Amino acid sequence: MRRRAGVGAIHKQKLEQEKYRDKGTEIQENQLEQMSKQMEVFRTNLEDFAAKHKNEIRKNVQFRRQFQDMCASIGVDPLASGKGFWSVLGIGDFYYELSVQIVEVCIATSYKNGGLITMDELRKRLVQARGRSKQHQDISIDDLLCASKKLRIFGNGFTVLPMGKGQYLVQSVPGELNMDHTAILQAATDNEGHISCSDIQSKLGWELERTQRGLNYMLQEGLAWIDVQNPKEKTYWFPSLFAACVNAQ
Amino acid sequence: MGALFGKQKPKSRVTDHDRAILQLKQQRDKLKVYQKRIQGTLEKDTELARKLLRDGKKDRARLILRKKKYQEQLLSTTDNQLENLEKLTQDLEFAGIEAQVINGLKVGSEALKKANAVFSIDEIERIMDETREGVEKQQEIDEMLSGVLSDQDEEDVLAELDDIIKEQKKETEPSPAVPDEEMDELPDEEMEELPDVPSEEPQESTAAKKERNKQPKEKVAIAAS
Amino acid sequence: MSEIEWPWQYSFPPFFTIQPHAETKARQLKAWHTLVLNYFKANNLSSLDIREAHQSSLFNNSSIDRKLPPEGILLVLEDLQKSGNATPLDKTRNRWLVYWHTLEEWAAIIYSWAQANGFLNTVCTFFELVSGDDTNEQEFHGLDEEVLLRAIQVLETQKKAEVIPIDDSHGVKFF
Repeated sequence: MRRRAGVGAIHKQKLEQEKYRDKGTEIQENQLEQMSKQMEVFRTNLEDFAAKHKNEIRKNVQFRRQFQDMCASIGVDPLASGKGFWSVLGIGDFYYELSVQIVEVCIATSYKNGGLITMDELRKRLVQARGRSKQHQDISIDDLLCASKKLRIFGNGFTVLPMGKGQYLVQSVPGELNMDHTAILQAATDNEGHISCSDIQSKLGWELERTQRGLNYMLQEGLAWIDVQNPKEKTYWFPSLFAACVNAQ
Repeated sequence: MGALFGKQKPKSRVTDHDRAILQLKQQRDKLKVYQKRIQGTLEKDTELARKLLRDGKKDRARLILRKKKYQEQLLSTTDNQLENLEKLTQDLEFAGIEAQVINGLKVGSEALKKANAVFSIDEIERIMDETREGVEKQQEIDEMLSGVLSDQDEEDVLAELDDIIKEQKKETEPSPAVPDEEMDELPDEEMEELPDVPSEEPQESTAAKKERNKQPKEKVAIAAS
Repeated sequence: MSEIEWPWQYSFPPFFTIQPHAETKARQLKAWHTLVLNYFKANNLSSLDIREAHQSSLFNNSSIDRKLPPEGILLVLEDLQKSGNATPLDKTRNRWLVYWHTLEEWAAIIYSWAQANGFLNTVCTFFELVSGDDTNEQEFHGLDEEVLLRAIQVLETQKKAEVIPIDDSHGVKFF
């Protein structure tokens, strides 16, 4: 009895286990199917939403920002794709277009600023240039930062330098700027676009040699101009930070 | 012509005529400058006179006005002179153009003369005679071709006609006999009348060739059997 | 003196210091080039003495207390010379003629005027060309006689004109 029952039990257990496994698989499959379905629905909804609010996304800065966050949460990068459904939307295009325009502005102004431009000036010129050709689109600094990420592929030929206080400089000529140079630029930004040795020494607490090395590098790179007629001492000027230059034309 | 002279650098293309006009023009320029100066002082004087009158200095104002009047006369004199100068300059320039026109006419008539000199009257007569002879000859040929015949020609024609008629009579009477004779004589005639030969010979030769071609074929056939 | 619209560089202090960096210097000289020609054109000037140049606001921006030093002015003029827009008048290179049109351009402008207005094969005084009523609308109206002479001399080498010296002035015959 025990034996028989044993065999039977084992047999039965086996059967049950199989049944459970089958059921489990079935449930798993069901769940997966359902989840895929949910994902599908979500994606479709997102697409519908994006398509519906396409213009809004292109025009409204905040809206665009939130939409991007939403996309990021499900692992879709509207910037990364130039093909498929997202290209129909033109979201990726929007940033590609923007980054091309950024390069255009940088090249067009490099004759006077030596390839260094403040994000503010860049934005102003971009909005001007775009305003002429198509319906006015509001471009935020965030958009510009996003678009300029695309330009990283150019290596150090195109760099965005954070200046603190929400200020950025865009450098469009090759030539690595190290921390010292960035610090000098930052100091000049706060000083109407010019700086002297003693200014730097007192502000940043550097010794003379370090200060001069940094300033000379900026001169060599064509980013700074030197003025020897200041009665006190030589002054280094950055056209990219000089108001009259920024507003020219 | 200008380019021609231009190559010889020392030779100037400026004529005395040009210099004369230039002198006049310079004189005119000087007058114009003078006029401008007087006009300037005139305006100043008027202003001054007005001011003097306001200040009650009537005598001085009158003096100034008198000076102004004089200067105005000067101005009109210079105007006249200027007009004369302009006229003279224009006359001179026009004379230059006239000279050019006359020069052009001269060149034209020279060319015409040269062209005429090529033909002398004798030459023309000779050419005309030759032409006439040529024309006559041509007419003769034309007449000959188109059958306008002389009496001699008419006689010749009639004689030929008689000959042909006689010949025809001969031919029609012994007609049955002639073909046989002719058949016999045929080989001889072929030898004599060369033009007929080429038309027949190619046919004969091809026929001969065919025969020649046939023969070897037969020979081969026999050899094989 | 009519004022021109100064470029942004004019208020940029280092613009008045010749830059050591070659590329920056080239940019600087290019800006000076344009500025000088604009200034000379606007004020109808033709000559410049480096020793007196500081009296002109062109090289001296008193509002920011900056002057282009004589060496700098010389550099700018030499740059203008390269493009045919300036010629030194003496060996010390202190006195200069500056043309906002090159002499070749002036020559072409004057000749096309003469051609269009039937002045070929006639003589004109220099006074007539730069101050006469016939040329009021022309760009070369009021042109310095020295510059005019040089432009006509260009035409002379092209066999399109001949200068005729008369008394203390000049005339010209166009061909």
